[in-house]
Formats: sequence, C-alpha cells, structure tokens
Amino acid sequence: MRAPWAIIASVIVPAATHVAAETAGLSIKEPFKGRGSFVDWAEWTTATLAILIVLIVLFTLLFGRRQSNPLHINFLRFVGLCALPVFLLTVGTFANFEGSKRVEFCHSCHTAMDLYVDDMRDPASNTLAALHYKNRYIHEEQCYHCHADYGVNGAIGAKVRGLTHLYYWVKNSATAQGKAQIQLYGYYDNKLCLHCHAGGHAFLSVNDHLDFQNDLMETDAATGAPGMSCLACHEPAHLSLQDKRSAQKESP
Amino acid sequence: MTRRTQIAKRMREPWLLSKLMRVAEVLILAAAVIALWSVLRPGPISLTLFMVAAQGLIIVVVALYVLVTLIRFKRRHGVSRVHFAAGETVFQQGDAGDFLYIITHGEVAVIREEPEQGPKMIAKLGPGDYFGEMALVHHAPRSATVRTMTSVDAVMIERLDFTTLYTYLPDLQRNVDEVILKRQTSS
Repeated sequence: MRAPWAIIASVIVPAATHVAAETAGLSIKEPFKGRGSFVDWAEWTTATLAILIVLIVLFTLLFGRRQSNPLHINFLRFVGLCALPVFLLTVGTFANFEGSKRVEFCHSCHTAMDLYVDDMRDPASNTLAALHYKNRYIHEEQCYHCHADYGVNGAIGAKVRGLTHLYYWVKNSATAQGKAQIQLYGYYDNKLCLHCHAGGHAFLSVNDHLDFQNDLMETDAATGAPGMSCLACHEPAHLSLQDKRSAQKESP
Repeated sequence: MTRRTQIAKRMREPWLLSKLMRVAEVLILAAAVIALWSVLRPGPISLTLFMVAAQGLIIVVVALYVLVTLIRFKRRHGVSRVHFAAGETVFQQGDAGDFLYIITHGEVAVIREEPEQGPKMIAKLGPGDYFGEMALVHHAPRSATVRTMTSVDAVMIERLDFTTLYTYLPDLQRNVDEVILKRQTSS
C-alpha cells in the first residue's frame, strides 16, 4: 500500500510548490496574474483532484483483486469513485465557468479573436477596448465585462451565446476564420457602460452626458435600441476587419 | 459448472456488481482526464466536453457507486444458502475473511499451505461442522485453504452478523472459542 501513496505525494508536492511559486511571484507588467485568485486555486485544485482520481482508480483497477484486505480497496473506491469526483464536479464546474471569462479563453478561437485581442493589447491603439485595457479600467476578464449583461440572466445569456460561437467555430464559418466581420447580436446596451461610468466625477463633468441623460438611459422596448448609444460619440469600440486590412495595405 | 453452482457463485461474488464497478472506474478515468484537459488547456471544446461529458460521467459514476454499494451492503448482510461443486475452492489461505460457513451436506478438506513444505490436509469437515470462524474472530486473513471433496451445501453467515451473534450469545462464543483452540492445537 505504500507505493501509491508515494506516487500521490510525488504529484501533490510539486504541484503545491508550483502554485506557491506562481502566487509568490510579482510581475510589474501583470501584477495580478497568478496572484492566487479563486479561479487560479480552483483550476489547480481541479487538476490535483483529477490526477488523484486517475492514480487511485488505476491502482484499484490494476491491483484491486490482489489485495488481501478488501477494506483498503473499498476505502480507495469510495475516495476515487465518490468523494473526490463530487469535489471535482463542483470545483471543476466553478473553474471552467469562471475560467471561460478570461481573455485567454476568448482568444483561444485564434483566427476569430486575434483582431480584437491584439488591438486591445496594442498600447498605440485608441479604440475603446484598448483604452480600457491599457489604463486598467478593467483589471481582468475584459471581454466578458463588456459583453455579458449584468445579473444572472445576462451571464447565462452570454454562456449560451458562447455555445453558438462554438458551433460557428466547429463549422469553420467565415467569422470564425477571421475573414468576415463579426457583428453584434443586437444593439449594444448602454447599461454595460453606465454600470461603471454613471455617477463618476469624470462622467458627470461632461455636460453632454447630463444633457442627453434621458436618451442614454432609455431603451426602446420593442427593438432594445438605446435612445442614444454611447458609441455614437465614443467610437470605435474595436478595430474593424476593414480597418485592419487598410492598415496592412498602407504598411510597407 | 452446473447452473446451481453458477447461481451460488454469483451469490458469493456478485459478478454484475463487480463489472459495474469496473465500468464506473473506467468512466471516472475518462471524466478525470477531460477535467484535467479542461483546466490545463482551456478552450471552447474542452469547456463543452467538461460541461457535457465530464459532468455527466461524474454524476453517472457517483450514482452507480452509491447503487452498487447499497446493493452490496444489502446482499452482504444476513444468512444465505450456498452450493459448491466437488473440487471447488471455497476460499484460499491468505484471503480476507468475510463469511462463516456451516456445512449442511457434503465434505470439505482444510488445507494448510506451509512454505517449503507444500499443501498439507489438516482436517476433513462434514455436515454440522463449520469453518471460516478463525478469520472472523481474530480479524485476520484466512489461515488455511478450504476445498470441497464432494458437492457441498452450506449456510453462510456474513462477518457483521456473525460478530453480533458471537458477541451476544455466550454459549455460541464459548463453543466457537473451544473449536478455535482445538483446531489451533491440532494443526
């Protein structure tokens, strides 16, 4: 019975050391990356649980019949088939759900998202996404913050749309290949901007915001269009495919 | 192997249940590998696989485990009849002790396997005799192998039930202790 525990220890200890090293490191460029957020810990816990389950189940599969004391095997089966999987289910779901909010996750559809993520991370760009990113108006999960409505329904709606994106990606559609411009499903909701900006000193010190406040706050019940979109004055949110193509033509 | 023996074997070792446990083990391996992949390589496909396949597999495995364990628990309690064909091994020396057997018909040979000496028959038991008590009382592995000499019918009592009888019936306890002492002395 000693060998499997030795194997398990040999996996846990390096994993824990790696987590500790990751969380201890401080980067001036990305100060919060790997600083032990809930998602980081959930991901490491999921990985550790999955490895433990694999080791335990492999042991019971390979050596279960040879053990003279069934109590040991029954205990290992309880741990490997019931206790740890229940933890894996909950922690893994949290890790996957929360992990899917990260920019890296959105960027994993490279051909479709390169344009937007590269522009957002470009310090020379002046699109809204780039301005928010380089000034750290949004610390993390930048894509999700501006493209998921607030509240439970909004978050679920964003996830369901994510599944349709998967469909387009698997289908290798023109938008997934980065050959056609991605369009919004509907009007961009001003609430996504106002949630952070409304009430702020900088926002209120602009007279236009106060003059058009009713238009900014109201939404057409039938179409969902705002009386006046924030983007009417604060364009562009992202670089468009056309802009990128013309920039490529102009560059030597 | 006669049909009666087959049924008896399934009574002792639940074939379907152990196969179900194997299936659960294989399924959970797949779920764990998907979970590992989903956090090490986050992406739309790994996320969807985790949300659909891994979660489904984990729920199925946990349900299967609970079901099999409950059935095993229920099966393993109480007293049941069992049949062995001639020449069958009831248990091997070194096995875990799980049941006590009382012979109702037939004969068995108790064989001790000594290192460097080979197997040696130390006793022959017949109707009315019982065997398997030593491992249950001493919480030790089987001290000898028991093999049937003829076809045997027996009544088997599970460890927990036997322990209850042994603890609360002083006459039975005395009888079992005497038999154990006698057998230890003679062997």
